[in-house]
Amino acid sequence: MRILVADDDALFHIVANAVLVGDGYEVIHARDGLEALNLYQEHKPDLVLTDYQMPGLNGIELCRSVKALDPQRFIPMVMLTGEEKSQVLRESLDAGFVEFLTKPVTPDELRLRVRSLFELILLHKDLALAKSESDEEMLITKHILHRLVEPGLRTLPSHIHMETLHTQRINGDACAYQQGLPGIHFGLLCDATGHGLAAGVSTIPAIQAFLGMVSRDIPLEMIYREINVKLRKILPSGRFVCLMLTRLDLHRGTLSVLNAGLPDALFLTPKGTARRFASRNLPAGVLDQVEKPVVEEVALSGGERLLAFTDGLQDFLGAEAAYRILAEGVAKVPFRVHKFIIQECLNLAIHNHEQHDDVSWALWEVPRPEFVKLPIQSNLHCSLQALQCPSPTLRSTPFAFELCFDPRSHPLRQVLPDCLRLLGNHGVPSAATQTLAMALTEATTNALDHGLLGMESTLKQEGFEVYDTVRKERLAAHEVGTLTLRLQLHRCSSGSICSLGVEVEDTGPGFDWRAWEQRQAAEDTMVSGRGLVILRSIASEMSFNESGNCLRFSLPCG
Amino acid sequence: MMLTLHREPSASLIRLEGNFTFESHTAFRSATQELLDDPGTEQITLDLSGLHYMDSSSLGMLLVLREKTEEKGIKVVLIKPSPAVMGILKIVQFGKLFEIRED
Repeated sequence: MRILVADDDALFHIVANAVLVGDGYEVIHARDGLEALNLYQEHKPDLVLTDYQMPGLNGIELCRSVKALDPQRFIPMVMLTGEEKSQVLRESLDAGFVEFLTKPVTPDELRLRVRSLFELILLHKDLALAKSESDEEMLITKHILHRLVEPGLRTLPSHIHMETLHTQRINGDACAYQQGLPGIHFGLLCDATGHGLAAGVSTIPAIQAFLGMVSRDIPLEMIYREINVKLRKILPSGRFVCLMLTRLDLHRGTLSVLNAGLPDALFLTPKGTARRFASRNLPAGVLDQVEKPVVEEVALSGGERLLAFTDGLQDFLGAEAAYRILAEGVAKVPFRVHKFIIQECLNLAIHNHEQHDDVSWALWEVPRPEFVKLPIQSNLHCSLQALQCPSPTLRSTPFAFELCFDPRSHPLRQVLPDCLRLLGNHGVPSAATQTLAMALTEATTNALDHGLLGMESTLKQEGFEVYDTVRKERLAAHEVGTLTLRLQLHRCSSGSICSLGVEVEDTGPGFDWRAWEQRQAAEDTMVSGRGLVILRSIASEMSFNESGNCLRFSLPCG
Repeated sequence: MMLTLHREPSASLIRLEGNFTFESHTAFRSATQELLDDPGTEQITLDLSGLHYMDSSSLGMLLVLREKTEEKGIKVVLIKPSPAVMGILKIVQFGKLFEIRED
């Protein structure tokens, strides 16, 4: 520890040297204010003892100069003075002195005062170190959360807005968005218990489970159960995550909400009818086994809006005020204006430091039917278009096509929308699209996962995230083979399309469908083998070939 | 937060006043631990009538208490929450975990 002593009184230097060097401090001596300032810059002492009256700079000027040089540094300064005028004391405090010593100073008084100041310095250093570590942890947590949710949020369609506004600390809020099958949108808002790194880290497994499962259109209640199991496994007692899962299905025209511990979400129609989605489930991570989750569903006709938020918004805006903003606007205020109003209110509150908790919020609008289009983009688009019938007069003729592809270069999420679009162009009614999408997804995913990648369904019992990780590793590791999708439209005698014949073949060693059938008879089918169960419920004439690498079924389209 | 412990032979009462947040952690833990360590405790009643606010950390403290009392077969009852506090308890569905008496 280094102490700078600035005084034009040689006697005080002698006393200070004897006491402080004896106590193990390093002492630097300055005879006037300017010399003191130079020595300060050169040696950066931990403590400065300075006389009030000195040649060059007086004590107050020296203090102000030091503080101006190092505004961020904690450097306690002690004024040595024979003056006891209140004006000097006031000026000294104003300049930043923390202590006063009245001359003549006794050795004991000097020793005790310096010792107590060094305890303060050490405490301050500990605090500064803890703050810097905490700031670093905050930055890392923010970075991880951002990297996790940013790819999904970047693809938000224009009728959906979701964001998390962090205060200076992290308080465990996050939001995520992912499109599932075409026309199906999933959202997650979550708010973990507590503050800081622990709260931020708690949301990560929830987001990972959500992102991994919605791409396969897993029902909301299963996503909630999965998040609950994951959090229960890793979080200590008393830590939990409040969350809301949302699924907007533009094909069936439904909105589903699972609220587990978040404030009411408000749903309003253009005619002003209001409905609230209140919390009906325990937050995730509270109990090992959750009771049957409550998912509420509402039928849509277009133009409805949903406002949902974590309790951060409630703290600052008040839930009822937020509802009023929405209620007054649905019929008259465009979506983007609505979004802007809420955003501005939040930014203002955060700017004015009224907001102490994070805020995550979501504003969803259901597009009117005429604006609902399947978002289809793919490299295969052009070649498939070429297969269209040349003339409307030929549309009553049989229509079939075969598509052979490597799922690594042409992922299912790109190929299937193209197939659906092609079928739509050839007379398959749009009402059947959702069922077709689900059936083709389940059949091709089954062929890829179990036929080509050799994935074991039992792996899902370790969690969908584990399953997904292994799946990605196998997809990336080596050549996996190809999938062949054969589709044929069947027409009734009247000429209208009545069914679609589907064949999905893979080049793998074959799926053990007999073992699967035995498992279905014996076990709970909710986690493994669920895809084929769904398929069997919507398809007819479903069968595998002997070797198990070709699945055939028929789907009604009329 | 102010915390007052009223000891009774088998059913003790803890009265909580003010804002129940993370800062109340040590006081709440030591008061409840005293009751948990007493083999005669059969019920712990938390009087919430003086509470204005509960944050998520305090809800977590209730969950920890619930786990510890379950192990020992002790019942936890929450009584007289203010409308604001009851609103919070409803949102997190704690009625499924604790007996809550509103009157």
